[in-house]
Amino acid sequence: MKKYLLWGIAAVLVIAAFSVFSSYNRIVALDQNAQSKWSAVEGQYQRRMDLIPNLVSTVKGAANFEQTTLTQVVEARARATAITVDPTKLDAESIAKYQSAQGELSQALGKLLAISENYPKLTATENFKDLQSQIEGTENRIAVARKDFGDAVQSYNTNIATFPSNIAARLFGFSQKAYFKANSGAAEAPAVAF
Amino acid sequence: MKRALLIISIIYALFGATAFAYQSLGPATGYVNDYAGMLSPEEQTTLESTLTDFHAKYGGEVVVATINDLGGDAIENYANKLFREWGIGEKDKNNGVLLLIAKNDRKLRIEVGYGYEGDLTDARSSEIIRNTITPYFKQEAYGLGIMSGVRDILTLLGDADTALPAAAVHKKIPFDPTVIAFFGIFFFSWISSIFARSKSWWLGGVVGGVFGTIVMFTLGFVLTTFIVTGVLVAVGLLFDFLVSRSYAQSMTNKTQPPWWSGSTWGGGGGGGFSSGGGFGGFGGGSSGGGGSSGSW
Repeated sequence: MKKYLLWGIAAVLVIAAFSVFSSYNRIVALDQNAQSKWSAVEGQYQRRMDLIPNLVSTVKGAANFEQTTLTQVVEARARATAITVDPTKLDAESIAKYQSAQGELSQALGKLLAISENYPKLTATENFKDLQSQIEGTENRIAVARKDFGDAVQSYNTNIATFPSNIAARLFGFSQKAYFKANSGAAEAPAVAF
Repeated sequence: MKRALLIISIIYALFGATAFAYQSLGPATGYVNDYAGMLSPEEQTTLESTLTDFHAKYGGEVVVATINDLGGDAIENYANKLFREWGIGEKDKNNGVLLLIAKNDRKLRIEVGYGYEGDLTDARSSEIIRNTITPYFKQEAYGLGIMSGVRDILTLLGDADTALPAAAVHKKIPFDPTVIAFFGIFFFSWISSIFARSKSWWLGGVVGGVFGTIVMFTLGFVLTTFIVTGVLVAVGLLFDFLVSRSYAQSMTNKTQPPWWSGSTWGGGGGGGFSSGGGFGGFGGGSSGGGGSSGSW
């Protein structure tokens, strides 16, 4: 009788150990996925920053283009370049900083493109149209990459918060990751005021 | 009427923001999906065969979809979701392009998969929309606009692709339900023949337990897999009991055991894998939002 009891306990222990190992593996996979989605987000933001020098030089070519907006874009780009996020951490503070720096750049860039509309000679050139479509395309890629990152973080966060993987998460020190806040979404359609 | 309104408003309240978002169109009918009826039958046939040829030659998948409206969604969002749902392009290459046209919203978008972003850049997509497609659309020559747009897209993709070796084109075997059903029945009958012939009435339970353990290894949820294992053991026991009894009965009655308890499995089984001529779907590619949008 006692022998059976011992065997039973051993079986339960083995099952528990396997469960911890397999949930650890799953957490690691989800963690890696979130990190790679984050690097996609950074890549798309970088792509936008790479387009800006070209845009600035094209716009500068237009006769007496308003200088303040141009300087704002260049400065916002310089500030945004300085801020990076450690992909292994992805904590709320650094993501918020990153988002606000990139958000400033988005605003300055949006203003620049809006003001460009006052220069029909500039906007009529194929070069400007190409740049504009590239920037629009990049904004859309940013939106997609941010959504994918949000989905990856959500499945990671849900996984480490629910039983039984929360045990493995606590055991191996995995913590929750932060999302982008939805305020300055480039993807939302602009509101039309009448 | 009032009740219908009430039900609709409840549904809207339940689904909240998603009420106006993307709604699935269901599986693709082919490379050309003309839901808004913007193409003549001849144009459809020509396009379909051109795009099928392109896929056979280069592996890439260029898909045209016309819809009536976006249901309040942004076309960028709609196009990306549709692209990913259909999985346009080969899975490992993501070489797909979706030309989406929303007729009543007068909007269109070229959504480009990751693998084609270098050939069909945002600027090039925008040029095709601005200079090729929309001038026709403004004159309501939709068929001509779509055909010329696709021609431009294929030119850009084909020129870059001819450098690839022809061996890169591989055929996929469609995984259609008949095949699964065929193997399912075969497996079922094989398992039951083993259980029925075996003297034991408990082997099924053991096999159930083993399957449960495998599930546990792959999923790793303690609570769920305990239940799954328990259920599988019970099902296995019951299954073994039933087939063993039926086999024993037919042995004593000297009759042929029923087909499902696995006699000899000599006849039948013919028919092969007819796919029925339906469209097998795309390769499972994805897009990161590349491409360009426009309106007319």
